[in-house]
Amino acid sequence: MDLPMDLSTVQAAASRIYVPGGCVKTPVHTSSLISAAAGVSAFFKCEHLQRTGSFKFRGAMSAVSEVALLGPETSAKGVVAQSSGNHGAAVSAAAEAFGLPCTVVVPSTTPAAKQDNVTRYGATLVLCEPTQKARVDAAAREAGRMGGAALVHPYNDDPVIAGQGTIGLELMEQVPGLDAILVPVSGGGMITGIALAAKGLDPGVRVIAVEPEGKRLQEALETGRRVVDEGTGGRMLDTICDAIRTQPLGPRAWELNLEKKLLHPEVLSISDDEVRAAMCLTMSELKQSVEPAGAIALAGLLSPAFRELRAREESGGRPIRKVAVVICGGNADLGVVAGHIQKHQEAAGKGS
Amino acid sequence: MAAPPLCLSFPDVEAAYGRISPHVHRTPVLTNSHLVSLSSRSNVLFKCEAFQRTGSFKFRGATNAVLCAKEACPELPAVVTHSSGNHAQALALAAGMQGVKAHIVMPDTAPRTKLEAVRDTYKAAVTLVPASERQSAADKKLAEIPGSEFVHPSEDPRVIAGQGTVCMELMEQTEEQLGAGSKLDVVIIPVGGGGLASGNSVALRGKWGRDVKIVLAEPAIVDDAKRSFDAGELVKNGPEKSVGDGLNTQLGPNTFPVIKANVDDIYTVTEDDILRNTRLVWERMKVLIEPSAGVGVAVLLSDAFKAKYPPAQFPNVGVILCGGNVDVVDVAAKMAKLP
Repeated sequence: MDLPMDLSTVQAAASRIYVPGGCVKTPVHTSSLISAAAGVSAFFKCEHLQRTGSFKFRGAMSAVSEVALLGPETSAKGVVAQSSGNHGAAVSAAAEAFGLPCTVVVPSTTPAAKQDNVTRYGATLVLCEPTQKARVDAAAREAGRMGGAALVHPYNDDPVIAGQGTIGLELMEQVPGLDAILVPVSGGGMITGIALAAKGLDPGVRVIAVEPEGKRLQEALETGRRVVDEGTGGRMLDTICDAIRTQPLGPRAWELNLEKKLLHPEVLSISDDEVRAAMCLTMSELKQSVEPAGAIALAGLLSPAFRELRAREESGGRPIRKVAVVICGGNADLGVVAGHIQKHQEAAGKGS
Repeated sequence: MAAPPLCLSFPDVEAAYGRISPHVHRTPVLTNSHLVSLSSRSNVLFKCEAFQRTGSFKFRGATNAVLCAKEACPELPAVVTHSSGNHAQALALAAGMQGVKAHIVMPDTAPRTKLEAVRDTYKAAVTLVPASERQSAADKKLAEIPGSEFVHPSEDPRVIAGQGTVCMELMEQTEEQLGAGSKLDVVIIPVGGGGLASGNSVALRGKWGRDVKIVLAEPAIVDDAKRSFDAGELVKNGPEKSVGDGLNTQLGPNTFPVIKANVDDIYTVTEDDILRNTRLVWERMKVLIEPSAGVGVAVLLSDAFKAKYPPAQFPNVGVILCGGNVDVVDVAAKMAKLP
């Protein structure tokens, strides 16, 4: 289906997702200490406070609401999702909101907190091998078993992208005069949606991707090769950010970016240590509990690469003063979070 | 024989509200469908003071005290207090924001992170002494700096009035969320030294009268407030300390009479319940509260509270999440040991 994807698509999603039992408009938090350290006015978009604990609920509500509109015979077959956890929980909750059956396929390595998060909304949970291929195959099998249930892809799906884009609509309303938005990137659903909304309202806003080291998104953008080399297509990144381990940007996100120039050409690439430091800062300054991917955009804000990016933009006559930072999720095992904090504290202690 | 007047009244809290508003965060009220479901109530409004400047509601009282002191004496050189906790950070920042120097006396056993926060982040002068010497060290500082003022963490009426602004906001936010003219049926407030409890009891009674029930929440291991409330006179704690470390202080001659006059009930909870409910908020609400705030959630979800205040008659409840300054690794380790 080649329906246009633009600001109006996101606005249409916005008209469907805020029903009772649906999405909430999440708050924006600030911290004078972090803004001072970063050298900009920073605004934290708190998607870990979204229902189900991550922004994924927006895309899920957008997609499932469309299935619900297809007529009782089709919608009664339900929905299937394959997911590293947050998307699965989101689709499970969205299906519950519309009274549809739901099965979720997750890798066997998914943290317990995320598995629990899926089943608490009523979906059937199916475990698979931790590879992209195994996830896709298992999801197709389950959809068939349910008599032709609709597959809701975590990011390669227009209604899902449009749903994630409602973050951008809220941000542009909550923080007038934004110069840039830092967005964690994996499959690219969220960053694409946010860019469609934000740049649709103000083409001058820069939407800057923040990736775990090894994703090589900037290289992909520069060379025009979505999958940077053979073998990286199906591989998962080696990162503590368990939610954003997909290596290549999804095909739809890639295609839309080529067409509309949504992403800022420079990508901020972040190490595990930087993520841990940002998790600690989120806890100590923002008093929020986030998962590692939830802290990566803050790590991007404070990175030397972002300082350089701002300097270049400034000298190009496009200063960056007001920056939104998306905190995308907060679903993590407490023991794992404590472990990351401890590791950071030990490293920080050694340095002094 | 008439009882002596209470140390503050509703106009003091209203004045504090106007005075401190430009300097403090109007913290959000959050809700959570899982916790509401566990509570069996219709609405639970969590007032998130963990998001207040310096990470706790203490910043309100400290700001009101500094501003009042400056109004009385524009050349105020310094404020002095003894505290290792949230009041120290709060006073340090509040004073700094008004161009006043803060001198904090801290026990030499205070955690390094708290010392560093007060001295390095908030730029206060710190004197470290054995805990038993803290008042004399504070007196010495006051004598050294003519014109300086002592700001007690909970007994100072200016501080108490400032803390009362939490519910001034919560009452407005209740109307915003539940409709014009709405009131909460119960508000649950943690109690330690009693500053938060007394100030907010004055605010709630001042605007909502007796329509709202005021219930305090306290660790059983440091239950001086409950015992004092039941006995009708001030009773002291033993040497035990709670994991809700912000609540290890006691009621005093200013806070106790206000609580006695305004509060309906005080419930105590076990250390395990405090940890369990703190973890619940961390995991489900993603808000990093300190265990002192978990005490209120524990009361909300307790059988005793549900029995005396049944959801059918008391459907709408407010809970003050008082702060978020916590050593996550340390508390997570304690949580891991829960049965």
